[in-house]
Amino acid sequence: MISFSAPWRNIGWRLLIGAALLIALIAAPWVLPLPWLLVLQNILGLAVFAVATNLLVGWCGLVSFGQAAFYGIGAYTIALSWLHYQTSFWLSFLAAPLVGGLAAFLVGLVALRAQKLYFALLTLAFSELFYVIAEQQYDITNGANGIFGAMVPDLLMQPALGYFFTLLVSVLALSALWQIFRSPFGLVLQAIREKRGRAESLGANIFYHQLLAFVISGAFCSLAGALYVVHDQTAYPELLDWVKSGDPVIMSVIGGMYAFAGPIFGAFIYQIAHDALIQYTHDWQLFLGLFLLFVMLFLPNGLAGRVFAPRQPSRTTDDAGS
Amino acid sequence: MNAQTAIIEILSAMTTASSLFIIAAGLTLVFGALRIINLAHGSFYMIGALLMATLLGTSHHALFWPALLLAPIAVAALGTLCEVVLLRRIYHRDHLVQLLATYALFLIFSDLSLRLWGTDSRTVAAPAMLTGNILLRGASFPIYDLFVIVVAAGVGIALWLLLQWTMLGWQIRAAVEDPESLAAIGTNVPLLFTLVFTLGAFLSGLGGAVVAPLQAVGPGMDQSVIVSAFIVTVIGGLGSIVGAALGAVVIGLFQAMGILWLPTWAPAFIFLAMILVLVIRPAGLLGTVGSAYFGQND
Amino acid sequence: MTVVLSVEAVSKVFGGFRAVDDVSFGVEEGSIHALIGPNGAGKTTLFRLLTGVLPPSSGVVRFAGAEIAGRSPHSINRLGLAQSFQITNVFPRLTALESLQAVIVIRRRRSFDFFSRFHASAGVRAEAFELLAQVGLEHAAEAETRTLSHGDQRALEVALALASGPRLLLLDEPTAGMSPFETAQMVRMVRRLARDRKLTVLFSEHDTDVVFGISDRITVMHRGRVIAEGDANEIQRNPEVAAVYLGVEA
Repeated sequence: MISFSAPWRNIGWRLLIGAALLIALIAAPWVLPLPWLLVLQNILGLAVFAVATNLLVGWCGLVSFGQAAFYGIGAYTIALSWLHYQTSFWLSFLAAPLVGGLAAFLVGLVALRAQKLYFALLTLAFSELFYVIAEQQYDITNGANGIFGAMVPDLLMQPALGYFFTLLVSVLALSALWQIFRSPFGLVLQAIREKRGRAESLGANIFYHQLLAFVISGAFCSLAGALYVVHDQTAYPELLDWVKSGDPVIMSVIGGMYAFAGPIFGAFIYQIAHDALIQYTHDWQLFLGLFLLFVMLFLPNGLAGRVFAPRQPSRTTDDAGS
Repeated sequence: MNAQTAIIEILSAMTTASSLFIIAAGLTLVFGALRIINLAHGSFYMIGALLMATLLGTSHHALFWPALLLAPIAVAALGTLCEVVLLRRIYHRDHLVQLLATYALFLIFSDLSLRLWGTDSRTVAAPAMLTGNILLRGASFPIYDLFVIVVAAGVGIALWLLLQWTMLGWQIRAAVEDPESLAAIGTNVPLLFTLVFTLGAFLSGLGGAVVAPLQAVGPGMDQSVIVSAFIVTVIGGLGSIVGAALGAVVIGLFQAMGILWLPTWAPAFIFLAMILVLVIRPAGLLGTVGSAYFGQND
Repeated sequence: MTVVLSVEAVSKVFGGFRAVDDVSFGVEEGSIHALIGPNGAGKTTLFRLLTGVLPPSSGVVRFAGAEIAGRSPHSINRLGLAQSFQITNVFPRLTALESLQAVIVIRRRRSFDFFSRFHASAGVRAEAFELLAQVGLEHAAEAETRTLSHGDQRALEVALALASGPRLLLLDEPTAGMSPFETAQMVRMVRRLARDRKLTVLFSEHDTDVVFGISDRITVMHRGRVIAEGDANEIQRNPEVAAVYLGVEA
């Protein structure tokens, strides 16, 4: 468990590392070659995507294989508003998390009636539902081709400015998520995760708590999708499908899902490995699959488990055990 | 709509239902007995279809019948390999691990299939005796589609016979209903699990092989069929073969209705069916397995 | 003396099996009331009926004036009924302190609050520490509960139930699996809690020494039915009760 009342020495280290990271991130446009700056920009958005997903997976114990639905909805909110209504980018960027939150509310009403495996399958199906709609409704969404164009203002098309915008938004988003994870709500979510029946018999309405978490997660996943548009100026159906939904779950697990920063770490590792490997090989999926198997079999706490949650013993507790 | 169109629509729905049933039966069997959800189940389906394509080429071949048996058997062998090497180690782990591990298998198979078969779609031709149409009360219906329905019915009957009349079937049912009792009476549980998983893989490969002449065979089949298979099994209730049949029929009908009324929204209709069923009956129509997977408290 | 819990002709039938059969009794406010009986007498099932985990097949349960049979567990808890479980039901990866903070937050209706750090506020922490002290767990505040000893986990169990601010505390076999030393500690704690917090306690128990030492009133169940009720003297002299227990112990 992350210590909320850590001794001052720990806080000191953390602030130092945090400050160093921030300085490095701010200096990036002058230090990194352009392609890698863009990779970093993408990772920042993915970090938000992964942490928002981990609110469900790690903090609530709700394995959702459908968060890409909201990621894609965020991207399509901007793309569709631009395509059909020529809406101002800034307006649709602000709208994206709201649309995502609303969609999450509707999906959650259905999906959260189920638990564990059924819940995972339901979210997977919803993800695929949105994919199918995006792919089939050619007149509205341009189908499998996706939507391309100048949907991002020229201001943000300049690499450094686009990067700083993404950095600013993702730092703000992660700070908000940090507060949510560490709030009374976050603590109660963990209690529900640990022993659902007990939490309920102690006065917690499980459904409403999980629904709120689902909505918050959906909203931030959509925000991440909106950031993706800043990065790539496109929205396409594959952003919504269930295979994509696996990405943030993988990032959370390999980074360590019981720590706030774990998914951030996971997003970095995942995306850098991906962008580096695809330059040399077509077999990214193979490597990812093998690596995932390795982690599943031998590293139950994820790669960063030892770093971010040092007090956690190595054996895992099955959620179904009592 | 006149009677002829209605017959065609219903038969068409039944064809869809049939192919879905074969795959879903395997999925629900594996879940019911092993309590594991296999995201790579669709991969077995795709590999079954790809093997058919390789074995037959694009010309009518008398090899069709042997291939229809060989392809699923090869897939079953692959399934056995997966079970023995990997799945055994994760039966007791929580569902997140199972999902990610079988997702990893999905990724690996997807990649290897691309390597072995490339990105092009292939067509598989039906044998001469199954090509063409047949007249049913004045309506013209493809013979091959009828063949698919017959195969599915055959699979259903075979499974029923297996489960009701054989020792293995009895053990499988015991595994579904009361896993604890199995070990207590001295059953070789690891062997049973391997057999069940192999059977599930066989069914999935058979589904892919049978369906191969009906559609373009290529990458992406694994990704889309698994969702339909899940929806069918969730609607029918995980662990129930009859449920899988019911679910398949429901989906077949919904999809046929969708194509008739709102063609571009047709694929989305099956999700509507899923939502409707789950809102009314969260356990699925005939759900038998584990309230822990959809129920209330710990 | 008010009757805070009234069980009226409650039954629970599973298939043909009557786990709880036409059970009626009342628990007076401020008393320590014991529910005893051999294994399979229906005590645990009855508790599950009281806390809303299972709905009764028939009968009425009145708590604090309201009918609670069939209500959801969290709403029954809100009315003031909390249970501590026989199988330890703590939150494994949370610390003892965090566990109590969570329950206090729920009770104080701040569980949807994602803006603040209310659970870490001085008031909540103070209350959590006070509860820990009441059950003798101050030393274990920062330990993950899955690392605690069985006895400590049972104590935390009780603290969790207390944290939800109940009027009536249900204890399901509170001394199960405990050494004589731990049992005595638990007994002292229950007595102290009942007195200090003006709590009503209904507990199920196997250990008859514990029962006779602490209870104001005892209800005896056997095979789903109530076979006797009274104070310690009356029950000890009841031949039917002796037969049931002697028969089991033979």
